[in-house]
Amino acid sequence: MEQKAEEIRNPERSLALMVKEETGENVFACYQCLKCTAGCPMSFAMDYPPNQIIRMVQLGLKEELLNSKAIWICSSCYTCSVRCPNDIHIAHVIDFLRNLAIKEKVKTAEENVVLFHEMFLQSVSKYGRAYEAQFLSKYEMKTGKLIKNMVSGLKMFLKGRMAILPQKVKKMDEIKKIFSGSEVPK
Amino acid sequence: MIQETGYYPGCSLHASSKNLDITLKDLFKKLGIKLNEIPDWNCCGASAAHCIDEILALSLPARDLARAEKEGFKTVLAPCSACYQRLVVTHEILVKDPKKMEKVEKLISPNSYKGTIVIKNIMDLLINDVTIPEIVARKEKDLNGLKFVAYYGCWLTRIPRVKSFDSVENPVSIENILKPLGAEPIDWPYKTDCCGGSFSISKEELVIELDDKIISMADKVGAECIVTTCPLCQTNLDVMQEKINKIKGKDFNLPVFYITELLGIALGIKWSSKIWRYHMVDPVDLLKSKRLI
Repeated sequence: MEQKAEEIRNPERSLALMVKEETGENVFACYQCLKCTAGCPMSFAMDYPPNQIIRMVQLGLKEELLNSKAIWICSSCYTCSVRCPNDIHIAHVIDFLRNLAIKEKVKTAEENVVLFHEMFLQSVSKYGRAYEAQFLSKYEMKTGKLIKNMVSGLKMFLKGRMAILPQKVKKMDEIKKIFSGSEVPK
Repeated sequence: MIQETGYYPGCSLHASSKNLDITLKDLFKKLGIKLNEIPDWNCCGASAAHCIDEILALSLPARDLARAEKEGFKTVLAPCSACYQRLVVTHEILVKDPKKMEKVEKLISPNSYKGTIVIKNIMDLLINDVTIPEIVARKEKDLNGLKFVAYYGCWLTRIPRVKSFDSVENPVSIENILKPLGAEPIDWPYKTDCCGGSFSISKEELVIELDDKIISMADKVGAECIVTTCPLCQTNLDVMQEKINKIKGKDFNLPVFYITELLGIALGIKWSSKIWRYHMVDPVDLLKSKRLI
């Protein structure tokens, strides 16, 4: 508690200031009207709804935020951001929190969501385009859902909606360079 | 009228949504618009990269925009709403934030983006560049009162701080195009609600809740089908119906069309039966009952 009070007293160390610097968003403009949460399609599954996320950023509750399910359950639909009467791009703040959780290697509360994002991006880093058949089966193997989802995967394949072979970008050196300093695990 | 445009198909149109790629190309050929694919394009990173690493999320689309610019394209058509949104957001951030631009330019070199590309989605191009009178003038077949709800999803109209081609919360362009061609739009409250497309694998149980709500409403208002432009929305709403029926004990059987498929019919294109085979919910009976095929 003492440390958090200190962070609020010293804005140069506060989470809200980091958010301001990195995203340009001023979370202190929020007056808790709850319009964001009222319109959020995912709030029913969140541990902290969007209005509380913004309040927690104001209070510097970094650890609680980075360990929350909510930041990973946000579907980035942007309903909150376009409705905010104080023009806070809430979804952008949530992106910042997700990026920070990855950077600080937090053990996230929604491991499968993160794993899915990472495996998707690993596929892109390898081919320059998403190779669905491969990364989906890898993901499902890792999460133990391969057998359960085999039938629906096969149906997609039979419908011609799953490419058998990957499409590869020609200039793969350029793609490798883009991924070189990224947070995507190798 | 616009004669040609740069074209960014994105990964979906080459895999899970080939029928959008095929019908879009044929439709635009009919309208006299040439689609020039960006050479050696790469995945835009949606909807994963922005959750993990912002600079990566900006660099992937930036390479595509740079390549489009190098080809001399003025506009780029991105049919997938997720790609569209990532290209637009990247463009907006890079032209306004020199610090981020510097980081991105280092990663995408020898490519370089000056910020000249105008990014368009299908509806923007049809409404503002082709225009509705031009489309209606080419009508060859009436859509015979096909009752539909238009589903725009999240990102077609809703990108924060970017001027949308249509109302952000109550868009009407899909209805405005299809009505004069003989289809019957039904107003409904969920046209811009989220379908949960990016979570359909990793959080299926939540997506079933979202899509049950959307499809139940479409059914309740008396729609015979859903019309959309986004490959992620189409795939999700199409694939999930069987799962919702099983888990929730429902009996949904609502075809989900791309607007290109229906516009093609109205403009006299005879689609091969292959197009309908891509659909999980078979639309053939409905189309036959309306004498559209």
